[in-house]
Amino acid sequence: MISIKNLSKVFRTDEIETLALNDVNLNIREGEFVAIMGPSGCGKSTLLNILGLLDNPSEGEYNFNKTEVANLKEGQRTDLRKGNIGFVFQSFNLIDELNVFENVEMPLVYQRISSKKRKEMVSQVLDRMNMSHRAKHYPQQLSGGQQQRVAIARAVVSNPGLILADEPTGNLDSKNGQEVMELLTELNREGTTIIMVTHSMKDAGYAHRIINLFDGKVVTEESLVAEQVF
Amino acid sequence: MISKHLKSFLIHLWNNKLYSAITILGFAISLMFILLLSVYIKNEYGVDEFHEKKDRIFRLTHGEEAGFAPPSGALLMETFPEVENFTRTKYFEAYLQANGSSKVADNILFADSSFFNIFSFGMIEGNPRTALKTIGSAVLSKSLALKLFGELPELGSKIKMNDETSLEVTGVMEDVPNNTHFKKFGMIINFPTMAKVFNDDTFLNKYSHNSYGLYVLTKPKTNLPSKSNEIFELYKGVNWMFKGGYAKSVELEPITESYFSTSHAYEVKNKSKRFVQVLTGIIFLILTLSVINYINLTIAQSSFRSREVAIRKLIGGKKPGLLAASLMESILLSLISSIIAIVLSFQVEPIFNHLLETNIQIINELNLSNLLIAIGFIVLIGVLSGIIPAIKISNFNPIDVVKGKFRMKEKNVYSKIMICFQYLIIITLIISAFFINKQTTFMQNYKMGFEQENLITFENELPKEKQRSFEEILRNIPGVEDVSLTCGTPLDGGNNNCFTEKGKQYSFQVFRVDTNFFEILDIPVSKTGTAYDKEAILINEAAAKILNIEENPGEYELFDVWPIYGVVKNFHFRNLKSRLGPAYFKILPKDEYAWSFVVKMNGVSNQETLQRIHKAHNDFTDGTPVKINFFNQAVQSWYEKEERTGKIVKYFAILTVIISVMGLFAMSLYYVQQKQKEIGVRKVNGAKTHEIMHMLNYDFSIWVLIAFAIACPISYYFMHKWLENFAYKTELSWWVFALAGILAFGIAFLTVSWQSWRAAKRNPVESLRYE
Repeated sequence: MISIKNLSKVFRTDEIETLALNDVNLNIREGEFVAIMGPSGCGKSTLLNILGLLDNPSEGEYNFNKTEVANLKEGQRTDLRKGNIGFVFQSFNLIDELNVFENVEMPLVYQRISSKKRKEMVSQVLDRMNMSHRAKHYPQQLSGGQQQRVAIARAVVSNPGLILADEPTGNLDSKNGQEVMELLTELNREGTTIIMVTHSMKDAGYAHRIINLFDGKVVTEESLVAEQVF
Repeated sequence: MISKHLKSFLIHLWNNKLYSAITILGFAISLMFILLLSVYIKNEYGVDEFHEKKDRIFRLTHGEEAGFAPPSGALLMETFPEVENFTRTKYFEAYLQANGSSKVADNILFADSSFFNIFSFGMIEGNPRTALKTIGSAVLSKSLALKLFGELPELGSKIKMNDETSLEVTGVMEDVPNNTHFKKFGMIINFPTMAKVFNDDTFLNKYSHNSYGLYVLTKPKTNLPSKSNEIFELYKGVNWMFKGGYAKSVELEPITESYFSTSHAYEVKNKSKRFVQVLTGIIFLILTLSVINYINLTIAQSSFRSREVAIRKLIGGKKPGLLAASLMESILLSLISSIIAIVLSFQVEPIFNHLLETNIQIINELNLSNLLIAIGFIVLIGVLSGIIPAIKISNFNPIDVVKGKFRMKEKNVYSKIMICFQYLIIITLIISAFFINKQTTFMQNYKMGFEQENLITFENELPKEKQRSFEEILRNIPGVEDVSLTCGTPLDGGNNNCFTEKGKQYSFQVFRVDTNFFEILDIPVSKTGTAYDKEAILINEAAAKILNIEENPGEYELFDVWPIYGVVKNFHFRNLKSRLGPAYFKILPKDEYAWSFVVKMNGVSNQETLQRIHKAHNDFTDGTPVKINFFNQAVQSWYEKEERTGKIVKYFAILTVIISVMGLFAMSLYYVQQKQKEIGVRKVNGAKTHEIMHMLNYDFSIWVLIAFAIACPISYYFMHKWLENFAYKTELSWWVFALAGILAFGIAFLTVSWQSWRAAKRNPVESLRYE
């Protein structure tokens, strides 16, 4: 599904140049659950952003679903992202002024799906997340775990093929964190590819494969499941 | 500690140049206007305050007029013991000549010898008590004296007025200052001399002519104004004007109020008090707007400095200290803005003076007490605008900031209302500016009913024996098509005749004109068929209507002895503020004195023709100066006041737009900053740039719409009321309102769109938090 060759990313400010990613090569198959690990500042989130078509690499190729996307313009990237990639963040990133329902339906609004259909799809996914009873509530009224569940609901509401998760349990206690990881595993079993950035060895244990980054380079890869599954 | 704090503040200002520039410049411009307007208003209210006896000086008026007959003053003093002294006045234009000097035209005031006793105008030479006591005595102003004599003349020097009247210089006075209700004059002549000028010995004892000003000085501790009814009765007994009901009352106007008087007189400036009050209101409005904008801007900016504040608090800074530091910052900003404002004021002063027909000199206001007031004001403004942001800033929770959870959870309604309010003002002003301009253009282009092109007029300075010879000379000048002598043109409105006809009272304008008057002015006349005779008159259509003789005017005889041999098509002889009134016309006998010459030029090189006319006049009159007016320019000048008002409103509208735009720009910057995270989230979830922009713009547009909806009826009401001043008015067209709305939206669009575009374009990864 995803194939990355010689990917590099440089960040430039007025005075400083940072090589965030240095000649990264990576392949991810459909249905995989991959964890990316490494110390702070090693480029994990940068890699995730590029994978999620939120950013362009400075050099290299990125093949997503048989399309070369490394140098696409912003509008094209957005189009590609819509409905295909869902995001889950460490700090949830829900919009405080919108209620749970409105937060979850947002991706569908931008895909121009009709109001009736949206209602259907959102209700379905909220049910699954056990958040239907809170549909009219606002993020400030929810606990951390509930907020992340809403965020995940938003990420999956349009049935994307790929979910990118950036430290999904970072702001949660262990119980809620475990719930979230089980949710992600469930989704993965249903066929969704998941790429997750994490610090936690425990969370990484849920993945099929762990990729270790250090100073912008892939240093090791570990398989946690036998190759034959694929 | 304070100085370190201020240092980081200054660096912050430098790092946010756009913000700082907007805040400081916006404030500075507002303060500049406040400074200029304050000086102006102070001067306007201080007119005539320099007279020592100002509390005892009164100007007599009757309703909207202030003209009395010459014996009125003496009669008053005889009858009422409260009167200590009085003076009459008459304003005049004349030309003067000292021995061998060239003729100089200037304005003259005739006044009694008590003038210098009543008013505190300064005398340079001569004795104020006695200077105007004798017939023919004249006191020159310093400027006129220098023009006539080249140096201050000796007392007793002789000058000649209008080539006829001999005068003796008995004093020299300071030039008439600006801060008096009297229009400028170059010379005061003893009042009774007028009898000599008019060649009429009975002039001083007659009540037939009521066009002279009358001022009284009352004795201390008396109350003459309370007796105005008795004064009215007194005059009623002797003066036809009061007896006949043309003047319905007598009022005593304190001299300090004459500047704003609604009673008209030729020698008096008539300034509108309403205008000055409106300006005062404008000052407060500008101040309020600027302070509001400053508060919003500072609060917006404070979120950028939240980190600094939080850290200071964490390290041990206390609330009162931070509060004080914040206040110091806004006082400092206020100070910087004020200095810039003062510098700007000097630059703008000349334009301001021109626009408001005044002569303020800020440099004269730089004294110690004003300086102290100014400093107090600056500090006050600094505190007022700084207190709210300061409280907010010192209340930041440092933990929230550091953990990144800090967000100014501002209920944005209050600032939205502020935006709405500012747009309300902008739209109202734009609409008003448009309509004032529309009305002025309407009046300037209005068909007045007489020809205006290629026509000039000038006063007849010649004795009646010579006027017709000069007419011949004029006719022979190449470029001159026709010449007419007349007593009364559409520019001066002729004479007024109030009379009773068949039991009803009428007020007609009277024109005594040459036979070619109507031809030269291209005014159609339809003959009634009645034969012309010596007493026959023409009347205008308005007269026919008012006398109810529209059907058969030829059969009517005014006063039973004046047959009507023609009806003149209506033409305007007053500005379009008054309805066209009735008038009658008599043919001016050739040997009777005419007030003015009217000359029609052929339109080919008028300037040259004009020069020839000037030369011919110069030669014929030995250098008597003459002021030649173009008809069309004279008509335009009727509307000078409206044009000026229009300009003022226009500039004020522009000023408000500038101040508001600055504030709005910054507020939308703030708003967009607040929305940063949300924009990032939406973009990640599929929103395109234009969709984000639409969302951001929509929020603001609603408030502009609301402002528009409120502004329309308000401005409609005000414009409607203003137009009531004019008998002939333009329409309150709908498209003006639409245009104003479009302009307002345009402004909103510009201020917000650039911001929202930048924000929408920003890469979501920058706005979403990640490690």
